[in-house]
Amino acid sequence: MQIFVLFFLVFLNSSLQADNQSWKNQDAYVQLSSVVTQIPNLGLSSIISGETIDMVKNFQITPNRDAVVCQIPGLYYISCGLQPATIVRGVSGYMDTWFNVNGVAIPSSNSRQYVDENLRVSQITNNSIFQLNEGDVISTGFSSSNPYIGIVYIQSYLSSEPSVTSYIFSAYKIR
Amino acid sequence: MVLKKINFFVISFLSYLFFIPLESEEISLPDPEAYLEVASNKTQVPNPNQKSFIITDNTSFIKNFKAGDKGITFTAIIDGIYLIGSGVQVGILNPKVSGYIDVWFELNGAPIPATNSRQYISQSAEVALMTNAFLIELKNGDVFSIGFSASGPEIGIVAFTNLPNNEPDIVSIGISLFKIY
Repeated sequence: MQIFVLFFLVFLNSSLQADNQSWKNQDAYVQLSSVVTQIPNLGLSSIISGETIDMVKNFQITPNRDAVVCQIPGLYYISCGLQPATIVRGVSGYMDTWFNVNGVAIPSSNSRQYVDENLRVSQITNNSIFQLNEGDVISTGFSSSNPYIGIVYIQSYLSSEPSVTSYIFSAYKIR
Repeated sequence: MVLKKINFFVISFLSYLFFIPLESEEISLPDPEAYLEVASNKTQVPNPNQKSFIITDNTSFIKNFKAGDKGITFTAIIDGIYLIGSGVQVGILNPKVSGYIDVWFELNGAPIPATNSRQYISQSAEVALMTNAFLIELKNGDVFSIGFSASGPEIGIVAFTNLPNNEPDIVSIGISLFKIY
């Protein structure tokens, strides 16, 4: 009798352990993009919004679409692409962009790109790997050295070419 | 009493070993792999009068993708969510020229929204690197390609070969993609 009880308890324990680990097998990904030109507040750190949801699974997106909330703990690959540009002619300066987790800027995630009259539109792509927990909030911060430097949306009038988005953010769970 | 205790631990250990691997095996069922990495070491200039596509001539890895004859199109074989990463070396062919280049992805002949990027180049920055990373859902039979256009006739994607000190060639484009789910 004792043996049967023991077997039952061990079986229950192993099943519970398997249930607790089941999140390991779950897919989680998100991609946001923006067709809006955005300018950071000078002297303040600003957050980029991605109003278009391209795809999402096991992530929540904040109502103003400037952050995503992790629902499955794990190791994540995160990337973002920006189109820094001068909004008016004759301006020069730089743009910085970085990742925030729970409102805190992540060290080593910041990148800088200069733009000027000869280089009016450029591009920054950032990639990182983060260990995220359930409820962690991820956002992209940006700042610029001039009030006329931002990330630009460029509408294409050709049907054969898509418009240039100002921002794209992608994340997926590696394991 | 001692024997009973030993018996208890042996049975516990054996039952643990018996049940856990069954659950683990269920979790670790392998998914079919699919990946592709292609590049080009040729300078290419888009045709200003018609839609132009980037040609690749060098395949590093390919599994569960089918490459088209001219290295322009690639067909997915396995349904899934894919991560695409690309690096394009944009440049001017004449130092007096300035302007921009756009690069985007197409799926089944239609441009994919949110994949277009622009980079300016000029005499002060004759060559620049444009990188892209995004997620895309592909189904069996989906064909993708890379479109590009430029604001002037002497702007394109540039390759640099025969570099000194055993430095590898600078390819005009490199694309990697793999199935994440």
